Amino acid sequence: MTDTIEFSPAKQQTKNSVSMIWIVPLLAICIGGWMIFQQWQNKGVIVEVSFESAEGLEVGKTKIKSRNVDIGTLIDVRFNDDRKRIIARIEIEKSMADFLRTDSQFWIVKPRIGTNGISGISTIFSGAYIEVYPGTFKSASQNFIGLESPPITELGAAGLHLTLNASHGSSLSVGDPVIFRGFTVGKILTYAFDTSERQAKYNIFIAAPYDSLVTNNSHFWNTGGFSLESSTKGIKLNVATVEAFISGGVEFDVPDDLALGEPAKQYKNYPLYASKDEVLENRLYQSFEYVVLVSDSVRGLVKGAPVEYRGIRVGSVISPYLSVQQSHELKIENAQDVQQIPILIKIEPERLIGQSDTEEVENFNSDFIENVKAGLTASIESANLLTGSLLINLDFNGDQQPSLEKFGPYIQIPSTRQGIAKIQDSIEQFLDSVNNLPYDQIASETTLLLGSADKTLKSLRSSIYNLNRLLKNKDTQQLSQNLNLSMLELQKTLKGLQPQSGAYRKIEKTMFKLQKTLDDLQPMLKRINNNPSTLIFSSPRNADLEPKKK
Amino acid sequence: MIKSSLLLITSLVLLGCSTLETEKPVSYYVLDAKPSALIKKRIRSLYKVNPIALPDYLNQPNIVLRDQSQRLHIAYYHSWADDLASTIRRVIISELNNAKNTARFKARCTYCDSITVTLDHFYPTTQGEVILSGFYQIEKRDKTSYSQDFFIKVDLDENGYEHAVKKMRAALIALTLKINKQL
Repeated sequence: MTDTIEFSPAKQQTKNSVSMIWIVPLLAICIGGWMIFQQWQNKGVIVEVSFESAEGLEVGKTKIKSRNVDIGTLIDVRFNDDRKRIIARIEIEKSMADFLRTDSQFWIVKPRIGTNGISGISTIFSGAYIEVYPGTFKSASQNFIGLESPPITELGAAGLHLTLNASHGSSLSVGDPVIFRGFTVGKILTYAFDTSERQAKYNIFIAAPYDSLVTNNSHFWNTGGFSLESSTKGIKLNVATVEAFISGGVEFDVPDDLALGEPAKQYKNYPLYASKDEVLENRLYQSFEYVVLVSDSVRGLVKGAPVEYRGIRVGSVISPYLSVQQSHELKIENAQDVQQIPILIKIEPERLIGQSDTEEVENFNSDFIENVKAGLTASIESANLLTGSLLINLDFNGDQQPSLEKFGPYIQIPSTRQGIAKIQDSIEQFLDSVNNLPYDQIASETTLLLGSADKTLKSLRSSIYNLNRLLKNKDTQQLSQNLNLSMLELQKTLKGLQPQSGAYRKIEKTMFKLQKTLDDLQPMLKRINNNPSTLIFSSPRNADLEPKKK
Repeated sequence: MIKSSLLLITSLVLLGCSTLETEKPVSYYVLDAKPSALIKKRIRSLYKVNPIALPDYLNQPNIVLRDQSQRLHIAYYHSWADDLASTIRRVIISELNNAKNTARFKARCTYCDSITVTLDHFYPTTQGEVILSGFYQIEKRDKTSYSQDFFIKVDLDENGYEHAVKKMRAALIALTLKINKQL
C-alpha cells in the first residue's frame, strides 16, 4: 500500500522587496527637507554696513529698526580690509527687503548729548540699535556706509536745499536751526570750509511749506546770543530763540526796502552775514566809485566805513588809502606827486532810492555828479568818539565848479576840513590866542577889580542888614498873610468860572441861545437889508411855494 | 392949527398900521415826531453818532424847497421847530437803535466806534421828490474806517409841506438802513 500524498501545487507569493520600516527614515528626510526649505524660504537678506566704531553693537542682540519696528538683526561684526572701520553684517527680514535701496541710510541709535539736546535716552536700558531710513532710489544695494550721527532730515523730505557762504568766523554746527522771524523752519545739514575760496559753506535745508519764504531777495545772517539796540524809542533787547541763543543759528528775511522777489531755486548760493545790521550796512548794492583827496589823518578810517550825507548813509569806503601798488595798477601817473591821501569810496544809490534798475541808478549818479559840480564836498568826521572810528561826510560846503578833476579813472570829490579837523584848527587857534594874551595888564586890572569888589561887598552887607530889619517888621509879616488870603479868594472866584461850574454852564447856555437867536434873525435881517421899508411898511407876502406831488 | 395937523398925521399913521394885512400863522415841523423809548437788547458794540454836518443853506430855521429851475426857496410860513442838524441826528440815532439789535447808538460816548454823516442836499422839490445826498463814514476804534456816498430820492404822494416833512423822515430812515448794512 502505497500511500500517495498529493501535494497541492505551491502557491507562489511575491514578497514586498522594501520593508515598511523604511517609511520612517523617508518621512524624516521629507520633514528635514521641508524644514530646510522653510529655513531657506524665511532667510532674510544679508547686507553689510560700515561704521567707524562698533560701540554699543552686540552680535545676535542688536536689532535693526525702522520707525521703532524690528526689521532685522545684527549677525556679525568684523573689520574692513584696512582695519580702520568695522563692517556690520545685518540680516534684514525678507519682507522688508524694499528698505534696501541704494540711498537708504543706516546709523546707530545710542545716547547722545550735544548742542541740539539729548537723544537716544531709551537705549540706556534697551541697548543701542541700528535705525534705517528706507531709500527712494529704485536700485537696490547690499553694501552701505553708515552715518555716524542721525540725519537731520528724512530722506526725500520736501523742501529747499541752499548753500550759505560765510567769509567771517561763525560758530554754527550741524543741526543748528534756520529761523524766520523767531520760528524754526529748517536746519543746517552739513558744513565744510572751502580752502580755495577761503570761506565756510553751510548746506541748509528748509522744510516745506516754509521753503516758499525764501526768495531771491532773502538775506541770511548769523543769529544767536542777544543784542542791544538803542533808538529814540528806548533800548530794545533782541534775543534769539532758546535753541539759537545756546547753540547759534541762521536767520533770514527780506529787508524792508527790497521787494519780495521770486521764490528761490534748489541749491542756490547766498552770502551769510555776521549780523542783521551787517545785512543793512554791507549788503551788495549797485555802486559808483569816486576818490576823495584829504589832507587830514585817515587813522580810524577803515574799509567799509560809512559815507554819509548829513547823517544818511549813501555809500562805503572801499579803501582808506590807495597804496602805491594800487595806484600803479590803476595807472595813476601823478599818484606820487599828490601830497594828499587818496580815499577810494563808493556811492550806493539804492541805499537812498531803494531797489532800482540800472537806469534809475545811472540817473542818480548823473544827479550826484551835478551836485558835486554845485559844491558838494567830502570831509572826514568822527563816527564814534570812544573808538575813534571815522566816516566820510558829504555836504554842500564848497564852491561851484564847472568841471570835475579826475584822479586816475575816478572822478574826484573835493574835500573840506570839517568835523575833527575843524575842531583841531579851532583848538590851535584858541591856543594861539591864549599864548598872545597880555597877562601883565590882566593882572594889574584884576587887582583893581578886586579892590572895587571889596567895596561892593561892604555895601551889600549893609543892604542885607537893612533888609533883615524890614523883614522883622510886624507890618511886613502881616503883608504876607494878607497876600495869602487874597490869593485864596481869587482861587475861589476862579473856581466858580471853571467849565464844570454852574456859572460857566449858564454863560455857555446863554451864548448858545444868543447864537440861535442871531441865526433866527438872519433871514429877517436879509429881508430888511434887501428892502429896508419892510421894517415900517410890510409888503404883502405871497404864500410859500409848496412841494408838489409827483 | 398945529394941534389939528399933528392929530391928522398921527391918525394917518395909525390908519396905515391898521390896514396892515394880518399875517398867516407860521407852521413849525419836527422830523422826529414819533419818538420811541429804547428797547433793552444785548449790546455787543457801541457807536457814537457825531453831529451832522449841513451846508450853510440848510443851517437855518426855515424849510428849503427847490424848484424845477434848480432855484432854492426858503419858506416863510414853514419852519423847523428845532435846529435841523440836531433833529436829523436824533432821527438817525433813533432809527439805528431800532434797526440793529446788537448795538447801541449814542450822541455822547468816549470809547466807541463812530459814525459821521455829512449832508450836501436835503429838501423837497416842486417836482414831487425829496432829495437826500451826502456821505457817511464809519470809523472803528482800531482806526479802520469805511466811507460811502449816498443819494436817496423819495417820491411825494401829496402836495404840501406836512407830507414833505414825512417823506424827509422816510429818506432819513432809508439812509439809516444803508448805514446799518455796513455795520
